[in-house]
Amino acid sequence: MALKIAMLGWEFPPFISGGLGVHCFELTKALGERGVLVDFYMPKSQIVPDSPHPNVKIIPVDYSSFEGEIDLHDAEFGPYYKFLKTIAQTTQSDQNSREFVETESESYGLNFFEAVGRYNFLVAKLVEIMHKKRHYDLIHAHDWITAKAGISASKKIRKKLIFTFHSTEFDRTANLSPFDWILAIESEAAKNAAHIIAVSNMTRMHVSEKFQVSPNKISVVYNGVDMSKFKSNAKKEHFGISGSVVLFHGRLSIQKGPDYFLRAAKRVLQLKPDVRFIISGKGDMLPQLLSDAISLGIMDKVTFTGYVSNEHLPYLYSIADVYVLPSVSEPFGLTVLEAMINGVPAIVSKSSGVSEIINHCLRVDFWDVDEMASKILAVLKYTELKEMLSDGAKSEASYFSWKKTADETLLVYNKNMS
Amino acid sequence: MPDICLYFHMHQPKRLKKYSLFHYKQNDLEQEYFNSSMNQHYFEKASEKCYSPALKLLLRLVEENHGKFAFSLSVTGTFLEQALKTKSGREIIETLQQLSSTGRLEFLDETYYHSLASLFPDKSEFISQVKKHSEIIKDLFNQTPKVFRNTELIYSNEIASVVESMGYKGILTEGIEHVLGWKSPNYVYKNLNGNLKVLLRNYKLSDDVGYRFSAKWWADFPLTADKYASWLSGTQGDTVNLFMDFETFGEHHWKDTGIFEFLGHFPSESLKYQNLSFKTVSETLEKEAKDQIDVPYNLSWADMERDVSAWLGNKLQGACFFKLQQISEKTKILNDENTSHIFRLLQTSDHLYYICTKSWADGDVHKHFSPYKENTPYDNFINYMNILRDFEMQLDQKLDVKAKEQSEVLSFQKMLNTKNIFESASFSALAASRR
Repeated sequence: MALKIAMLGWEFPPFISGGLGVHCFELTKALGERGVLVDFYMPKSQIVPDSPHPNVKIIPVDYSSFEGEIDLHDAEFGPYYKFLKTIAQTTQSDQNSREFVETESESYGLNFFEAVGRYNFLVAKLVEIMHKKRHYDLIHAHDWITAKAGISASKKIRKKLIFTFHSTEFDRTANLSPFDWILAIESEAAKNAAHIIAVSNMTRMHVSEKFQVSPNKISVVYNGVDMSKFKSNAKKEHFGISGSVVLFHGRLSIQKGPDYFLRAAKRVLQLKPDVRFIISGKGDMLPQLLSDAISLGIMDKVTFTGYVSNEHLPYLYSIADVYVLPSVSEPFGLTVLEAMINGVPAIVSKSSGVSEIINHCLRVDFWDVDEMASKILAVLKYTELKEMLSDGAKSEASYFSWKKTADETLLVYNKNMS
Repeated sequence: MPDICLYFHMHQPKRLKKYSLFHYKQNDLEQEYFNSSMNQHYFEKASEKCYSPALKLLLRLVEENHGKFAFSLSVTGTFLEQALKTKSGREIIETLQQLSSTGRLEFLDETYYHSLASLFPDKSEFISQVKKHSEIIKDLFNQTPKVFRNTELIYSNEIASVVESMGYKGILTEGIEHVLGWKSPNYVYKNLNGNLKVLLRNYKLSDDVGYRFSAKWWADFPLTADKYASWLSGTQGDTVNLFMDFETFGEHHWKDTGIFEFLGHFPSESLKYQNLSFKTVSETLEKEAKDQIDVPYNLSWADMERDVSAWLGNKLQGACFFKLQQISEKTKILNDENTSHIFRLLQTSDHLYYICTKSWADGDVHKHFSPYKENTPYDNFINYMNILRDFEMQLDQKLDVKAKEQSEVLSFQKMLNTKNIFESASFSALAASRR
């Protein structure tokens, strides 16, 4: 009997704002390849993403999910049908309901939270209905954004909840001002889950300490990287760039530490003026970063690319001489692996999950801007260092694959089946 | 009938500072590059755990056995410099002086700075460092060493012939099968086509103490002095050469492993056997050489490979070593004693050792000895290379100044000479006209 999993997600390519979407796509694909049947629930938007594997069924969720396309008119859903119709009518009048997935999830607007709440409510109901037909073995929810639905559905269908922490509220707010109610949801999820998956040991320890659950209940499953998607053979010349390039790529938010990157850039330029710094990504810190770059007097050396799609991202890696991940708190740090498969030497914040498993990188404290600058300079100046880091990075990153991530996730599933 | 030739090596490097590119420079380069507080900390810790108790025990053993117990030792200059700066260090030197005056402790020479200068194509740097070591041993212990041990027992035909040309009678190196072939390490040999006697470490019996003594996985654990003496007595050959780090006693094996009790009973247990006696290195060299050994490449006592890959095994180490050679040429031109001293402190092989990235199994050993705790070999490379580059920059500036001064002196001399020539020419012209 094939395992049947109800997986609750939030984003999926092409709608991605971070590692969560990549993880879910690659995980479901690899699970599908291993014969696991996955129903992947996610908010509905205008375009339904393609399923990564025939065993994976994408179930877009909004009020309309309860009619038409997923064939819920059946008599067996009778009692619910009327109920859902009511929800549908109330939500239909809400202009924002269709827009919530297009809303950037980093802009924690009121509508966003409302949308999350509604999504969770609908998913819980829908899983309960679908279970009658699909007979799920487990529920697997990802991050606080699907936690409520996971907990509620798990209780209703009496199946164990597996919960993955891709990050905690502490990470996302750089420990500064976490929302108590989000922490409460995370804590509830940690307590209600039969087993927890953390994307690094760092996150495992955070979850264990902050939410008071035994570390034995938490397994570490590292992210993978898909070589074929991020490897590029482009060269600087193709883009008319000469000189050294130092790259930051990620959400421009306090969690990711782009401001430390800028300060390090200033230090580097004091000793080596012919370096270009690229800041790629979007986010609420952009205005501050622009004004910082101007007041530091380095605006002409810094390029802000704005949002870069996954399709174009490999080009950025291919022209970079150094990749910097200056995160204040980074549960994993997928982009480091992406840079590494391109042979880009990485300078990685010690407060990151990826730094605990990678040898061939340089580690820094995110706040130690001088040290960050000194390491950037060292990679740019010392050819042998760059070569060794590059060779080491390529071979080390090749050990990471989503197949491995899926295998380890499957292990967690199987242990929780008895 | 084997004799026991015990040799210990004593060394403390001057460890580097965490060097930042963004700080106000100090004029004193030793303060600038070396972490004196960390060095003092390590020195005092090692003195207390190892040097002080072990040397006092050795002195007692020499006295108790009335001349029948003897051993040999080499101490690096970087060790002695640090010892002279602290009270516990000066006491260590005093104990060594007492031991030296008994005639049962023989000092060997090595490079003052525990460097890899023997591997530079130009051997003059190596020769100067060995001479400097010889001087400090003469000054402190009133001995002129006749036997040489190179850093980490690094040996090759080439190094042996340089050492021979410096007048040494013998040299120590590793006795490993891939060099010896059918030969036993338990005899005296000569270098290839030369007259320098070579003593080879019996690595198995040496490592039984130096490495395996506290290893619970070892079939012969625990090792007792009487058991060990019986092994030595049963060994075939003229000599059993037991070469190890002095830090074996109290550092590599802590006090609670019983290592001091082992050392305390080792001489008396050995002397119970008619066929065992203790000899210093020079006494051992008096035995006839059985054959010559041919080592065309660099051999050492380090790691499984017994080569120089622990210091020069990767690109990063190669880059640093190349930089050292470049700087070496420049310091020769500058010819300033203090600058050379700093440069040579930077040559201590430990700095390169911490950049080793060999198989992580070996790497673990390297990590164990690394004082730069959280640092990866990459971090250590960056720090070391940044220091070397800074030093080179300072050197270049000094050379510029010197070159300027010299060119001024030269042009002044030239002016004087021209004037002389002119004067003498006009003088002779005048003289001629008068004739």
